[in-house]
Amino acid sequence: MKKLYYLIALLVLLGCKKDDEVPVTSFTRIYDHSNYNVDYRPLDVEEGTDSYVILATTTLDRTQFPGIQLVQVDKEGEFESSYEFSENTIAPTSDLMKIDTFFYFFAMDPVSLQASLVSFTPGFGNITATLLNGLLYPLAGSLTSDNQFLLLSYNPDDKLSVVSKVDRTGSVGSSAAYTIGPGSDVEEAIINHYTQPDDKSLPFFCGEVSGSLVYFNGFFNYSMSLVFSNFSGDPAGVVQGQFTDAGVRSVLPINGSTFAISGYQFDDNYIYPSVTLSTGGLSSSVDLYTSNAAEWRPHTPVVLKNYTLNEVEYIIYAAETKSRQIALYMYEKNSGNFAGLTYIGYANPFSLSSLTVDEENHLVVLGTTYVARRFRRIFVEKISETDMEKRVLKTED
Amino acid sequence: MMQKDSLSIRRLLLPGLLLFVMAVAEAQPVKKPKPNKPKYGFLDTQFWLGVKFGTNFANPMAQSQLSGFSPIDYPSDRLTKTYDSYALPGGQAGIEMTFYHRGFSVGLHPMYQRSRYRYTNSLEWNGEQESERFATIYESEQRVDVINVPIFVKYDLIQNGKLRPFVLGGGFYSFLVGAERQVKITQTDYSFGAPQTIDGGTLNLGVKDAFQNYYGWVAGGGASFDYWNIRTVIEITYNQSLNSVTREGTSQNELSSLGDQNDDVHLSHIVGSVSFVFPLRFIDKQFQAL
Repeated sequence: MKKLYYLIALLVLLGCKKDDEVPVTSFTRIYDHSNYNVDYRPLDVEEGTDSYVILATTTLDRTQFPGIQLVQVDKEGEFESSYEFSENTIAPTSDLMKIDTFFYFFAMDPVSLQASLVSFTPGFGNITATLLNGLLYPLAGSLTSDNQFLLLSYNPDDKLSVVSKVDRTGSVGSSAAYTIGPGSDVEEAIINHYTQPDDKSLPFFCGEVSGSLVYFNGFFNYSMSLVFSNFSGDPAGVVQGQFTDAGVRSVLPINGSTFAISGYQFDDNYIYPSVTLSTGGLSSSVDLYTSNAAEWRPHTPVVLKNYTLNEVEYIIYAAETKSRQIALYMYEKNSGNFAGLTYIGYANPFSLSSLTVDEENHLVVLGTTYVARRFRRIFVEKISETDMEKRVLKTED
Repeated sequence: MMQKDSLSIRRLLLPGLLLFVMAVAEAQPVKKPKPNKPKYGFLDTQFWLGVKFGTNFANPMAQSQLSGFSPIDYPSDRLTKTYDSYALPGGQAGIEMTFYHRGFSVGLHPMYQRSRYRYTNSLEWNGEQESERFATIYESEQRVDVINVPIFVKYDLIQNGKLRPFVLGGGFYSFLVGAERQVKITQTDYSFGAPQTIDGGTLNLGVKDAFQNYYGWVAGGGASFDYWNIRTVIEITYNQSLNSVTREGTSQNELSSLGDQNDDVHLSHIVGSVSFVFPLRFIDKQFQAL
């Protein structure tokens, strides 16, 4: 009889075990459209008030330059609304930025090729596009620590890479222009960057090391080079690339002249979670290359993002694999040691656009997938903080 | 809120069962056998142990319809899945431990159980031209493997003789062991002029992370047949989970990549079983088959 009691008591205890703690915030959503010919190419995602806002490009009938589409989804990932810009504003850069309740990105006027600063509020209200006089071919943008913007643009007349500081009203402040040097024109490569983004997309980007020192990755000395500038006549430092065949693909400042970077050398990719770059002299990206990140596909976009989990700072490297998944590598920021890995995508191909970390410390991954292997559709995967720990760091429940 | 309610029900149900079982058990004081014991009196209180196996048919009851797709230009009810009820046979096998006393039995029957169910959903895309049309159908077969631990309270309607019909009721807790999904994709492409049906392949996905332990109630009936030294029990039961067998809020890569997402599914089963059990107490040379 005692044995029966024990058995039943055991069963009751097991039955009263608390249910598995399940996060309720993780999701993957694919935003489907029933139109056979619709083709979305998302660029960036930012958190809004009870929503996520997606900046995307669409195809236009009368030009090869991409049009602009905005999509808003709620915090559970359900589609809420979308807004398509007219053909008067085209070719957005891959950076959606937020200050207070306003969202901003840089785009281009199709006739004058002038850069413009576009702003809007959640729900796509108060949309304005302010032309930035004298700045052509916008290539990349970023937010600065004093709530202004950096813009990388290209001047085709004088063959200059131009980095400028722009405030929220569209006024251009500090600016520096650097010649791309003698040799053949790079305008064709830049136009291809806009019109053929799926073919060896060039890694234009810009950002801030400190208040006085900024960087951009653009054409300098006829190569895709990482240029450090304090807005003076000459660059403060240059990590020289090798035309469009080799260079730095993404950068995340860590401390002083220490950076997390990824780079490319023809079809190879390489990773440095912690490397000291010469911000005040000339060096070559070719010297950085040691070994190939063999899992990554050639010419993959690579997105770096800071992420803190359990008070430990990490750097996430997101890239596309040769098997058409998205790989999320996690490295400890202080040591540069590898900490974990997870994948997004199975069966259908997935491609990467952007990452963001929301206010609740959930990672939001933006990209595209090919539904039924042929219809390119936007996807958003939100990985909760709890799932980041389980999936990436592989911790037990 | 749903999980909290279910947890409360479970916390009441299982201790209640425990008390009931203890009361039944305590109602039987240990007594020395009387010298003039009736011929078959040793069967008034008995432990039975044996094997049990059978088949089951599952009915998935979706409490909410979820999808990995979020449509931009069409209503979300086009993404609704169609479930088939009691369509695919599963199976179970395990051991039966039963304590019997004067018509009442309490049984613990831990079983390895596989449940199978099926659902279908479809998507379609259209352009301006007739040839710009493409459709795809996903047929998903879900298999859920659990260690099912039911506690039965059984009452024999006829307590003497070789044939003893009974009714039973109780509860169960199922510990998830594994979950697999087989997705068969069939596509119809209109771009060739006439519609062409294309086999889009079959995917086998491990989806254990998208499922969880579940619990519920069970009721049924059957009959025992006593021949030789074996009691054969044929039993048909209906059981129903009180919580979802799927985990909410999870995003399993293999599923979400296809745009699939588990609904909040409660499972019910119709279960047919056969047991062969042996008496454990008072076995001596006098025991003969009834």
